Amino acid sequence: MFFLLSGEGVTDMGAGQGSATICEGEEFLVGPMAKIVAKVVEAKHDYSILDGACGFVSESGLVHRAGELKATKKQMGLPGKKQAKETRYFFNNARILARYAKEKATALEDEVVAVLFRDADGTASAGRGEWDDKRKSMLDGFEEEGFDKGVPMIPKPKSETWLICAWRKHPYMACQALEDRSGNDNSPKSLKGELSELLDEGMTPELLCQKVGQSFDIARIMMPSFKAFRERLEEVIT
Amino acid sequence: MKKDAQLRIAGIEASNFKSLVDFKINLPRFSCLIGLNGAGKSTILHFIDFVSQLVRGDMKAWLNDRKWKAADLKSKLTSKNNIGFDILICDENDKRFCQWGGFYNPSIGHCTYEYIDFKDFVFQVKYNQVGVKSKTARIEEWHIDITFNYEGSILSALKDKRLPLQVSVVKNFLDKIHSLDLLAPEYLRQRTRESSGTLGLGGQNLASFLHEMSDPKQLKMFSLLKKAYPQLQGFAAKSLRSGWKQLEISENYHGQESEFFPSMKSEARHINDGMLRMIAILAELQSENRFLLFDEIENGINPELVELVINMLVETKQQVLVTTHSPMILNYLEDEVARKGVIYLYKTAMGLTKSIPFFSIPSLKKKLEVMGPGEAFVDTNLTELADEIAGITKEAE
Repeated sequence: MFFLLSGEGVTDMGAGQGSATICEGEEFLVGPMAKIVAKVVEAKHDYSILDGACGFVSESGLVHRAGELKATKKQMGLPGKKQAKETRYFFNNARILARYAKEKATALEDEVVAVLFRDADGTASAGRGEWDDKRKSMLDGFEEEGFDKGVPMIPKPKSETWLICAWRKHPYMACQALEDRSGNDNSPKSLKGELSELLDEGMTPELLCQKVGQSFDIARIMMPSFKAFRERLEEVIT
Repeated sequence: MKKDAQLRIAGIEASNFKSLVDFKINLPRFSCLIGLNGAGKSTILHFIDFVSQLVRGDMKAWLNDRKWKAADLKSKLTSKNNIGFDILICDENDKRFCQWGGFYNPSIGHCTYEYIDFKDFVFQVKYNQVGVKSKTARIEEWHIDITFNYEGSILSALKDKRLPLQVSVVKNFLDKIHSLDLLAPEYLRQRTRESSGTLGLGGQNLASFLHEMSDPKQLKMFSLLKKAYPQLQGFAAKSLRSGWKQLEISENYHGQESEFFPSMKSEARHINDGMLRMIAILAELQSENRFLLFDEIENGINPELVELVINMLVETKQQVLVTTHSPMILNYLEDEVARKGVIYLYKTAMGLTKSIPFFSIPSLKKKLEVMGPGEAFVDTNLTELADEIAGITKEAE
């Protein structure tokens, strides 16, 4: 089984360092969220996907293929009873990743699991829309492409909540409340600020990733957005 | 310099005109205004029509056509009396040609202060005098007292030979701007006598406008219209008694080939609304008008024709400004055209209309990477978009 990961940048899923569309091995600069994916898989199966069983497609790699979806302008997704607003971004990104994953599966003649990371409250929504609609939209996007091993990884409102939840002094307390906080970095008590208080000064993305690898207990994260991600990942790898 | 130089309006500033209080907008060659109901889309078309009417004069007739009173023009959001305007005009190379600005006093019906700022001189109306103030030694300065009554801009009252060439060029350009914000089938069906070179506010001069059109232009129009309506055999503005003109079309269906019924002709009152609007849009594209303005361009146009209409409007050499609520219209724009030309209008908490290029808003810029412009528009909750825009504006300040 191969894992195809995609995210927004170096502080979440990671980054690609080579010219290939799917970066593997040393070309994949692993990010903290990729480490979390690896931990969930490792807890279920006794191996690490980071030892040669995963690849990475950058956000720009997905954007590069978006023209395939935009070319047929008459086929426009319209919001309605079955499709909420502020979800199309998640749907389309899932569709493109599914296309890469299907091609990879054919090339490897093996099963491929695709994990797509997006903050629920990222740039594309700016606080608008509901988390569950966005997650459903991502699942619909995988399904639209006939791909059944797609996993949405959508922290609510953003990845900082999962990290805070894992590292704060008193675990298991009011995890869910963190999800209702503002994702705006400029807000007076921002999640970003709270996370940096928990970390040592001079914490770089590399050190952050190292810390996730060394001291990050996935059992401590009790919030619904993480639970949904974990359960779906466990479902597709069994 | 030719009198009919290819100029365009590159920017507009307006103050104290309805909801346009401290309003600025940059306009590329093709612009599409979007926004919630009441955001001010039509007001901008009204304002552009208003400033071009200043050049034509006869503000009373203009107000009567719209069934407005002079006092209706002023904003109810401020206590100021005068309406301010600043229009940036560029040449065909997108270089600044001049800036025309001034203050219009609705109570007295003309501009009490006015200027057109060129590279070498300023043409201005100030302290009841009109004249030229030079910026270089090569231009001769002059001024005269204004001892006559006029409406709108001083340009409406002065003959071309009295004006410097550049000023005549600007006057000629502004004179040919007309908004078709009331373009409606019931107007388009009317019989008319003369068009005076325009379709009229609601398109009521369509029949005479077509009648006065040259044969090559009529042929061009027919070939474009045939693309939209393959069954069309021809159209004509037929002359009736006493100089009245009436629009007629003829169509060809299979029934005619079997001589089931003779040639099928329909006069304007029986032509479908969509075709009438298409004829009006095509007529405008064939006209001498340099700046075409259409409110709610999608009205009556069936989805199969949207691509054809949009391509024509984007590709024409004329400057085009449309308003729309239709995601389909937006989805047929190329991303680059959409980035530059789709302008979002919204109202602040104070009720003032503001503009922002839609795809410069971070969330929309991001969405456009993976979806069409129309999809991004329709996927966005516009009522909540104000919060994001407020954040950007605050950051910029």
